[in-house]
Amino acid sequence: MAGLWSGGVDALRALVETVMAAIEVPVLVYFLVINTSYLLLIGLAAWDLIHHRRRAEHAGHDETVASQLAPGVSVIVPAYNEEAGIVTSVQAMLALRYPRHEVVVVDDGSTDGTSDRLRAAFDLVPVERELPTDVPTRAAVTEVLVPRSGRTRLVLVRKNNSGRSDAVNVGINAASEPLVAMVDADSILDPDSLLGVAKPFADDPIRMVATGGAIRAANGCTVIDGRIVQIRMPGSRLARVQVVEYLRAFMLGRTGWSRFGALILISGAFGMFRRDVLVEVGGLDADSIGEDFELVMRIHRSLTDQRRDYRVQFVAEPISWTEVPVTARVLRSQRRRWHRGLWETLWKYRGMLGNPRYGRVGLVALPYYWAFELFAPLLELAGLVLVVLGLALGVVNLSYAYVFLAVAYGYAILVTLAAMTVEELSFHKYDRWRDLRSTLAASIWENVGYRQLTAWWRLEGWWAGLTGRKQVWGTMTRQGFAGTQPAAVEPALTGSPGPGPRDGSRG
Amino acid sequence: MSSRSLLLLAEVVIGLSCLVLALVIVGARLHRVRATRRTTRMVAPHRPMLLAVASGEDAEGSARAHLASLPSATWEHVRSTAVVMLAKVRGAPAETLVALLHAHAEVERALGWLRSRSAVRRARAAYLLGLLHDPANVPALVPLLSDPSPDVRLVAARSLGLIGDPAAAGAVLSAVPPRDGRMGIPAWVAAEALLGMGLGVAPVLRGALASADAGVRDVAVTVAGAGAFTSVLPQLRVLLDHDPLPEVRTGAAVALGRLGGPRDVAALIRCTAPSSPTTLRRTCVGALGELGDPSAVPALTALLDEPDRRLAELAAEALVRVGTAGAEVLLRCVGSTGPAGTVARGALDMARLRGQMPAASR
Amino acid sequence: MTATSQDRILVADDDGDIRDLVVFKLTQAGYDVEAVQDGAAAFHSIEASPPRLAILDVMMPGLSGIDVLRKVRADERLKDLEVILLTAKSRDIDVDAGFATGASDYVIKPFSPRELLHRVNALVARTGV
Repeated sequence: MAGLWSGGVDALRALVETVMAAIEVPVLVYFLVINTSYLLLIGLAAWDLIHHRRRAEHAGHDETVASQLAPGVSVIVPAYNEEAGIVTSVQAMLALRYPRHEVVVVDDGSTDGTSDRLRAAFDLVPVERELPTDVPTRAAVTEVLVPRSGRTRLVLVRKNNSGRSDAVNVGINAASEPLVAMVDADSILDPDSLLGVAKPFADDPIRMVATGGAIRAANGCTVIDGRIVQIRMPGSRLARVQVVEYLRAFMLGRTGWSRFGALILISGAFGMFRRDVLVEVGGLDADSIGEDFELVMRIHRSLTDQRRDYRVQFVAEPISWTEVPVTARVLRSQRRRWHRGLWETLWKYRGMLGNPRYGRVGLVALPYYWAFELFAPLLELAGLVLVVLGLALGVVNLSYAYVFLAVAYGYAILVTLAAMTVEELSFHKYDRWRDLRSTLAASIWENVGYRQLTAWWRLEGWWAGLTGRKQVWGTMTRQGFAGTQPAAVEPALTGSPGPGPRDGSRG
Repeated sequence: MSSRSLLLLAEVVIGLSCLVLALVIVGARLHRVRATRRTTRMVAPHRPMLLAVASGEDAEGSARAHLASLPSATWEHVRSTAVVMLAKVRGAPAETLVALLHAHAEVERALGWLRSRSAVRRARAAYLLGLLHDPANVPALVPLLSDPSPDVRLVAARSLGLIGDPAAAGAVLSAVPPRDGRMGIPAWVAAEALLGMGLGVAPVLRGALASADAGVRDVAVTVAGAGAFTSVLPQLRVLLDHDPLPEVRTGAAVALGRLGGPRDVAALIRCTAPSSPTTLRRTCVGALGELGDPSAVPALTALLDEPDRRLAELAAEALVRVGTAGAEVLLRCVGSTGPAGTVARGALDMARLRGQMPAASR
Repeated sequence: MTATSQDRILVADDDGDIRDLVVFKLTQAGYDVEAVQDGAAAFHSIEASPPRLAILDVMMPGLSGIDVLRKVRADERLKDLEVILLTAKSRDIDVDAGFATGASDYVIKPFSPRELLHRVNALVARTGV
């Protein structure tokens, strides 16, 4: 018996030894390449940000506000059971600085008082209005309401529940302006955010088809009347780590890709599109889990196939703030969903992968996303498991393992620090020294512990996608942002298709 | 070198880089905090005087004299506040602020920066020159309409609009079509710049409406409609019926809606035919409402049953705007269960809310 | 035209420079001026102790100037308050909306401080003693 056991262990050791010898270099190379690519993206982003900041003075935001002819924007807000904060949110959106915009709230069959609160706060009355069917939708519209004064540009569309994507599509139909912004009901927008994301359209109206805005974590910030009044790092360690993660992945990753001319992902939490292009491609796909990613890919494919000259751009100025999960449970559900959405969309558009017809999107961005976003968790965890196994079996000695891991993770920490440096030199939103300390600490935890955890969750999501398991959406209940307390968050899993998936993958 | 020593080397490099970056972050923050404090400290004693000048409360000119004699080190910090205030006020205080800028040779510096190699400097200089509202700067700004940087071209067009000298109208229009592989300035920016130049652009406008370039014609019809250029009505009528580009026809429709009269109703109705592009049909319907002539009522009524529901909606709104005759038609349709009924009820709902119902039919 | 010492004016704008400019100008003219940064604070102040006249920016966080105006006009006690809207929104449709909601006057930015003062004086003289 003991002989069998030690024979087994020897065989395993030999196996691990061979495997490690074979993959040691490729894994290191992988870590090297992924982090160097991040550094490149950060470099591109840094250039863009500095560029952007220097133009702030003559960007002409004040002049645009006074403009007669600037293109109008319809802000679409899909809402499901958002009674806690919807009134404040809508008030803040109506007060955004922009010469010509309307707010279209689509109540996706809420079971709470979302519509009632809006009705009361804005004195809404029903009007008979048949919405155009420019974009195909599924659920029936039950009611359309507008303010009694007939002057405030707010429209509330109530419909039967059918998920966020369908709600947004209804909103697109109800929108009357040439530009459409999709905003989550619980996002907090900076007053100049519409000016920021609309500027690329205003500067290049013929080619620009989609822009995305940077999103940051609102946890810990003081929010009054739907506006961020004071920016602070959150108290929760999990939230702090996400602040750093969003900084690196969203703000810098996407800015870098945008600068490179191959932005393939605009967050569903804040994106702006040309309405006619949305109608042309058919709006959001209600069956898709990563529907924001899927939409942008569809736009890329459709416009490239038509040989049109078009642009997709990211606006790095932080303009939209959202509450990030503070419990592992909700975070896990979110990351599983994101990675599943990533997988399904990448698979759906596999025809564009490596296809020179699709230019930088097909030749650079998509291969990158496959290799370094999709497969990343697998390789990261496999590498970790092998090192641990190797240690246990005596294949690898401790000091070697230590150096190996130190280099792999150290490089990742370096990348995060680079992101933080760019942030400090450009927007420097976090004023306090103690926030700087917690950010530096968080940048270490992000790479040692947090990433491995989310890697496991991402694999779970991918597996669920591969095995075709039914997706369960998570919802976060809110106490609302009325006042200075940050809202407490309770995870709750409901079986019905609720608000639908949010943001796509990071990166 | 063994892989292990390579790894060790890498580790050291990474460790050092992390340290350097951490120091850069801390250093940048310290620098920024100090610089901000310094600026506030330096500006604070002079801000009341700046407010006095900017609000026009400096009758004797003592505040201005004081600010004009500031040493350049202090002025560096005060300048940006002065420029910001200049953008927010107009009238005599704006002129005083401009004089202040002159006193510190800001205008000469801006003119010099127009030739700078840095696009940001050129743009900033163009922006400042626009705020000065001085026609003397127009010749310096016009060449920037062909600048290699799109940003600079935009700022130059805006600034020329702010200055408001019609002499620059032709140059702004020629910057609209793409040239040498460069994007032209956006149509709405050009249109707004021309609108800022007043009625003096009418001759240039006449030429632009006949331009071979579609983009220029597009800008011209937008300007004509938004700026009440009734002298170009004949040309607008021709463009509505015959221009090859739908956008220009749409812009002409908008302009005719605002400036035209009863004789234009027939032409607008013709363009609502199903063979016209969707946007043109919808715009013509809106224009008929804007004109408010009752002779359009039969045609608008026929559109209430349109398969294009948005068009039907707009037709109903137009009927409200036409007045009593239109409202009567809608009231008659209210009881109908068909699509015309829905649209009629919707339009009447909105009209009541906005207080737009003609008295007789309330 | 000089103001009496009890003429209090409320200024609401989230732009610090505009606030400072208007406060300075009106203070020099003899008015007692209170400045706030947002709509909620403006309405709160008007409710607590109604001023002689209010100058409101339109695009402010929370309650906009139009919202405050609407609430004021809907309130029995406050409905006769003179309100000037001071805003960058210059389109006809915005001016129409402002007056339709009950504004006493509508001043477009960039503005002339002197003209603003004249308008304030005129409104104060209208029903004042």
